[in-house]
Amino acid sequence: MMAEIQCRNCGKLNPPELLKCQFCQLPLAAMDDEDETIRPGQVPTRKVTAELEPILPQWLREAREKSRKAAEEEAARQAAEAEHAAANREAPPDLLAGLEAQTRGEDIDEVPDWLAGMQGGPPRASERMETYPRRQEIRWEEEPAEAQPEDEMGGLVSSPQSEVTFDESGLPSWITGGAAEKEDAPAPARDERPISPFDTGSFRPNTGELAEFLPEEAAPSPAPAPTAASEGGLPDWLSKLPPVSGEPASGTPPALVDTGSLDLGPKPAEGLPDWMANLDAAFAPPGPEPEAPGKSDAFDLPADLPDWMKSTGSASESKPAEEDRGAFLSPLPPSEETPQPPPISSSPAFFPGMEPVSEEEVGELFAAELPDWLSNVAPAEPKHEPQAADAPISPGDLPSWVQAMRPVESVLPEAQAAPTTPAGPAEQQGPLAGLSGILPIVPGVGPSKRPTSHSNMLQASEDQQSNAALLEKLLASETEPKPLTSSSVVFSQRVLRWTISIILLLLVTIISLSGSQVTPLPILPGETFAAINAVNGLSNDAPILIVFDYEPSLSGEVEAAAASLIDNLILVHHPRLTLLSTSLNGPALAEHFMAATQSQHAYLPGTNYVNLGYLPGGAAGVLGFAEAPRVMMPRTLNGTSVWALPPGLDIKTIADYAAVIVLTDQAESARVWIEQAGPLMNGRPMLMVTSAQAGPMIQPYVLSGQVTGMVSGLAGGASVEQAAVRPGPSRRYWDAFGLTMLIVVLMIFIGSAWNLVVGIQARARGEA
Amino acid sequence: MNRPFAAAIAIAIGLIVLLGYFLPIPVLSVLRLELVQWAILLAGIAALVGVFNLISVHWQKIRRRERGNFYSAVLLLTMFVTLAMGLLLGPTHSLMQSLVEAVIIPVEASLMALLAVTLVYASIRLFRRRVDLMTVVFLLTLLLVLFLLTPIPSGGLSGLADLARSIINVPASGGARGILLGVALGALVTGLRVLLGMDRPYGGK
Amino acid sequence: MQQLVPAFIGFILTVMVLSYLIGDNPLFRLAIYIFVGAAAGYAVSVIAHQVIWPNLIVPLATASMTERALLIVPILLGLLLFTRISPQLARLSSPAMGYLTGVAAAAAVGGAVLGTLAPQVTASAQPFDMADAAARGLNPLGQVAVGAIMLTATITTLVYFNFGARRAADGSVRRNGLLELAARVGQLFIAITFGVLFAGVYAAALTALIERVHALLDLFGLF
Repeated sequence: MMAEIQCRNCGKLNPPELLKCQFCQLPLAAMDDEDETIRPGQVPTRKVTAELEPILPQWLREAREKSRKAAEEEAARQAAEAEHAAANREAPPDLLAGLEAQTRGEDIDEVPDWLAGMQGGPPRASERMETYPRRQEIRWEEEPAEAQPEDEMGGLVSSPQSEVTFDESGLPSWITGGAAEKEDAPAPARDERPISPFDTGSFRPNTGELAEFLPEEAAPSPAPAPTAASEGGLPDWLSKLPPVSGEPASGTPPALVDTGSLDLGPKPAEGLPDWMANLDAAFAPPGPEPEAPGKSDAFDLPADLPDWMKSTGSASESKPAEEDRGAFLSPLPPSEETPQPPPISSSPAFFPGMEPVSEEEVGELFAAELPDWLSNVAPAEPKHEPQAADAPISPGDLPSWVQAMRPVESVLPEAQAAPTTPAGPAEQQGPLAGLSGILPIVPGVGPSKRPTSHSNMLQASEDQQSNAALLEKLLASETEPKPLTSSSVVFSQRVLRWTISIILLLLVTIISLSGSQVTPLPILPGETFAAINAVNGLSNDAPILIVFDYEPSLSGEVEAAAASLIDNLILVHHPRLTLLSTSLNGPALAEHFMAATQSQHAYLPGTNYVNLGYLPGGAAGVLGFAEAPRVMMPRTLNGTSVWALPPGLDIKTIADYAAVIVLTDQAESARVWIEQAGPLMNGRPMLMVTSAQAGPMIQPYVLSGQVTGMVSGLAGGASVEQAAVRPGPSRRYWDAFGLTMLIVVLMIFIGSAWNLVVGIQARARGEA
Repeated sequence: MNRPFAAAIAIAIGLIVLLGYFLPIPVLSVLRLELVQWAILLAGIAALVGVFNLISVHWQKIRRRERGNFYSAVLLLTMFVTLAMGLLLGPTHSLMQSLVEAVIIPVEASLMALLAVTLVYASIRLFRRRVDLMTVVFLLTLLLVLFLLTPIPSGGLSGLADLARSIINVPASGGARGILLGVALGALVTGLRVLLGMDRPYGGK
Repeated sequence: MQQLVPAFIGFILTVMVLSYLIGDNPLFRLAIYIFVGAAAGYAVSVIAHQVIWPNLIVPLATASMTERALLIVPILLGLLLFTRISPQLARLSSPAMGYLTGVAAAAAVGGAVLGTLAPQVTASAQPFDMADAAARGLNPLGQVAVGAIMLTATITTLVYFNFGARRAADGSVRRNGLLELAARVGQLFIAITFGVLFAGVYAAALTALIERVHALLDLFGLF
């Protein structure tokens, strides 16, 4: 006969099999265990919290159903345990341990992994082995020492949920304070400082249902439950610890280190190792610098992160781990050597009356407390050196990721003065070998058989971890507030650009409108003189190949440069012209050129000139055309055979052309013609009419004699017009070009001088 | 099977074309010409493939209602109208010529014209970003060459301008020749690596 | 009217593009997309009429059986090229891409050797032929001096782009001291060359601006 349970709310007795008070409908179990603490090796009472089942996601219900099957097989034993727990009030309740998969149909897309790790069964060793600790992701918060009830567990008690601050809506302030915190729904209200960049609140599972039951769960104080984070978050080295014999501590909540497999010792301070005892200092409020509200969003976890990152992020928000930590760490009484923790005022802004950790401190934490695989990308040196003298564990004795398991405050300046409590037994093996104060494994606590279920927790390989580190770094850098260019600087840059635009447009427009043609034309450069000479040396009615290899963007310039030369050619020799292009727009540009600049000659297509059109293939096309024009371009754009027309009558190779004139705006296309067609021209002149941007690169070919002559840019065209004494487009543009260029030179000179001075001053200030 | 075959094609065809430069064998010349003609045809088809890819990309943007799909719709509409006109009328038709003169030339030339502003802006701010010997030489050369393009009255100043032009042209031509030789060497090495099968940019691993 | 409509459209598009001087805006983007669409459509029509029709369709219809049989190869390769549109089938295009790459590589090698390397190396040595200079009535010393400067510029520029280095005993990676000096000199010549090139680009851009302004003003002359 099991003892009846007295409802804490109404004081009436209820049958032990009831979950809720039959009078006031409040949960009995949780109330029953409100002040329960957990003891090492203690088997928690499995509570049936079936009413919470519907709010769980499908996958979680399935997981719990699996565990429930195992539970049903041992129903009798569990009932006995429950009775024992009720009688002794020793077994901590597992709020979700008895959840039954009763309902289906609800589909929650995203659930934090601390829920994912809950499978209702005891913590499995395999889960410990399969997962990697991410202690740096655990959220730590400070609470007033006096608010932490001391228990017989050495201070390992769960934080009373009554401390949760509620707003007007009845929701805890950490819920209303930011939607990002909802995934921590069952967590007691504490300073929710993110330790990991992943643990920042952007991970937003669909936990509306959880939020609904949170207020209900706020009344009972949850005992430390077997946590996903701890059961799944243990490193390999812990799982490799000597196997324990005896009864597994199913449901016993592991804390920072799996307390289900470690003996915490009977006394609060005495039995605790240094690093645990010092954790009260770690819970001490951080520095006085307030953290801006919502600063944790700086490390938002994007929703489109890969799954393994999501699970990482969610693991970091593992609420049970948080409870565990808070449960057995926060109430540690400060030792005499321990400086009194600063007042509570340094909790986050979303906790009323608490001040957040400063950004600098958190940043320092990230820099110093990342695990090995993250520390490579972490800032090389933290801003503030921890006060190593009082550090509970020498940083040099632990791997960095183990250090990362310490709470946030342990690395903050205020937390460095941790109490030095007597060391516990020294660890003999494993990564913690040589460390004192390590919780030993006690037979009967740890699991004794290989588990059958698999963890839902993060199972990250080294590559994934390195990827995570990289992504973490990227996220951190992306979300770090960067010094924005001041609006005045942006504005001044914009004004400068507008000013240049207005000056140039006004100058060009006014000069063009005036029709001024008074400025002297440039003198004839040597290569242009050679081009004119080559043209003058051609015979009459000679076949000439003109290649249109420029783009429409510079058609105005190239046309102006070539107009006078071609005009002079047609005027003097009346040649038969063949037009060709290796640019797709070239055929149209060729027609445009003939119509716009040579219309005075009344040259007729098909009779005086022929437009072969587009020659594809780049260098290969030019090579083929140079060797066999008739094969490569059998037809014109109109589809007729060009080679029966006058311009192409006697053409078999490119050497049959009296000259090749290439109109180009790119040195590259000029080089193709020089390289592919030049050697096959048998000394026939090759002339170049180029944009000013291509001229300097073609100059070596002029000097080597591969190019007979060159007209480069508007200046070249203007000089040809001057030599030919015939007006052309270059003359029309030249005044606007020359005068505007003069203003441009002045602007660049003055602006550069000003920026030189400013730049030197800025560097001097920067060095100072 | 496909990829070694591709490598074999690239090497064989490339060697035949390359030998044609140096060995004036008639049979080789005929074969080379045929191969080059096929290459020209294939290059044209490759350009078509590029246009089809452009259509595919923008069609997907429209179908998925991605951001900027309005512009993609405008692009496809303009393309199909132009294509229909070009296929029906031919690219030499006066309407097609007008289209080029009304759309392609103005837009491209205007884009180039924008550079006239942005390059001045960039030049002015160059010293803000870096001050070293190379920057100083670069900027002084730029200013000198631009100044030589301005209307310089005849006389003594004109003679100085000629002298300055010569002084600039000699080292500039030498530098340009160095760059051209570097480009040619790079093309030579890259081409030989392809012809020897060491590089297979066509996916013939 | 035949001139006015294209000129007016060109005027509108020019203004839309130049509006970028104020800042990026929808009008600018619209003009760009219109341009890309028109250019692509025009390109397809040119390729169809200029490449596919005369080099493929007409020969298939009119050429001899031998020529038609030979056309199977480019047709097959062309079809393989179209598989590049599909990511799943893109690997099938390797032979066609290999064909194009092989021809392009051969043309690049042949052109570089015959068209640039040999002539430019020869031209670099030309100024030092004092007899030739005297025969042409030039001052041999002056030509040698100019040639020396150009040769120095050419060599040091090439050296500047040579990034070969050796690892010293202390682990540091350094170039040969002489090469390092040459590279520094080459840096100056490159700065001069780039300055000249930049000036050319600016001259081209300014000419384009002037041409556009003239085109805008010409529109008003049409009324």
